[in-house]
Amino acid sequence: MARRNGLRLMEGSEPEREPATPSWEAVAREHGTFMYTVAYRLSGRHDEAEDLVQTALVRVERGLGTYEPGNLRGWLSRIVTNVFLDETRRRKRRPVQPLPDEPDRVIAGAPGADDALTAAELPAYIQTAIRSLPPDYRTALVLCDVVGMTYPEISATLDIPVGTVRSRIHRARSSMRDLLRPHLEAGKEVEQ
Amino acid sequence: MTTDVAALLSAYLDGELTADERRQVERALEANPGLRGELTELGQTRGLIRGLADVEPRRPLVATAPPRPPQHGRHRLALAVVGVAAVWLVVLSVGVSLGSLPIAPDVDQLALQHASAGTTMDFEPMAFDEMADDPAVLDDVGHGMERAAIYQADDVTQVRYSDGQHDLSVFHQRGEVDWDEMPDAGEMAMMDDGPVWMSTMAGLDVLVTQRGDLVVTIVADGDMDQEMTMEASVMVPEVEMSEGLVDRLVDAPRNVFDRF
Repeated sequence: MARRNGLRLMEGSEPEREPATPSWEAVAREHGTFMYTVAYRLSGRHDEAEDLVQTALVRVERGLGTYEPGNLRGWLSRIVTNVFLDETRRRKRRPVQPLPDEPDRVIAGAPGADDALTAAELPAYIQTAIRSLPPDYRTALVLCDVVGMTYPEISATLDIPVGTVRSRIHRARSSMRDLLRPHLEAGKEVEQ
Repeated sequence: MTTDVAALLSAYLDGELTADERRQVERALEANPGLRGELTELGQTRGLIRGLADVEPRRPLVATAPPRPPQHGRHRLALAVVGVAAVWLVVLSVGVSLGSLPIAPDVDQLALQHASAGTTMDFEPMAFDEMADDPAVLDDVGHGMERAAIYQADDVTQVRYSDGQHDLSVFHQRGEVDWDEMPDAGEMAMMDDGPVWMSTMAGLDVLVTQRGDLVVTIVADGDMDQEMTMEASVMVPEVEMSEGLVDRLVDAPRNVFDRF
């Protein structure tokens, strides 16, 4: 399977020999930003990301005893993702009334084709677009384009067929493309 | 055919097609400029997502104690809270007496019990071993407030926490808060996803809330940060009864994962 390019977050998790099982503190120190990034991309909110990582670290601590060294970041990604999906299912059973976002985190509605986002604003807009995706599509997309997993890895993480992974990623990207179209560079060929 | 091929474009970009599928897509791309345009847009979209920077946590993740799962909905608090609260769902076996009568806690007596440091006549000191199975008896409630003593009077349990300078008591009893009977001297507010009653009496902050099937009353020294009082109230687990179940699931309280 060809190695993906340009996906920083999975760098360092290649199957070179991992040291003996790390402590949870070491995991939090060395991979905390990675876990938080995944959690934030999934949830779109810092407070939710913090809660997700908190819960994930508890599961990490409990699971380290049985963790077999191999792909630590893949394992951590699975934990964070499962925590996110568990929380999503819990909310479906018990809706909560969210408080309004802090003012500096309120993202404006989709800008029109004539509205130009600055380079500083674009990442937040992309994150808003990610958050607008249904959770199932969002997790597949984040695992692919943020974590850098292959489709078989995503299939194993989410316990869904590879065909479903394909479908979800394509639908997620298509939705993202529609939202981001004004900001795509017209006529620029993509490098594969 | 074009629609079918279009659905393969993302997998084509990601190098996840079989050799036959890849050839199929490439033939279609060669013949269809519109499809090539779609591929370009999908690729650029993918590039924008993959180009997003890492996100740094707002607060350090590593602390001196093992992590504790957060209180669900804690982040919904309007106030900027500190520390982490745990939510535990405890399923108790059939036969446990369920106190579901409406209760208006005697906040005057509970405040007196707190202020007297456990010397009012109704409350008896309890050893932790005797209370180890009570999921509402926590090791600490954050901010260095560690369990100092436990008392019990009839069906009311008091756990006193202290950081050496300030004391905070958490009283809990089975039942449902009778909000209509709470003293008028207090005020009602919404916190998390439920109501709370709050008041100040004799220099003490008092808060009453419902946690699952528990009526929880917090009494805290008046010079404590009120945010700490409110946060302590959501540290208490939501204890819920479930009929017909015979298994008891208890997850023992863990040390707090201090986020600061």
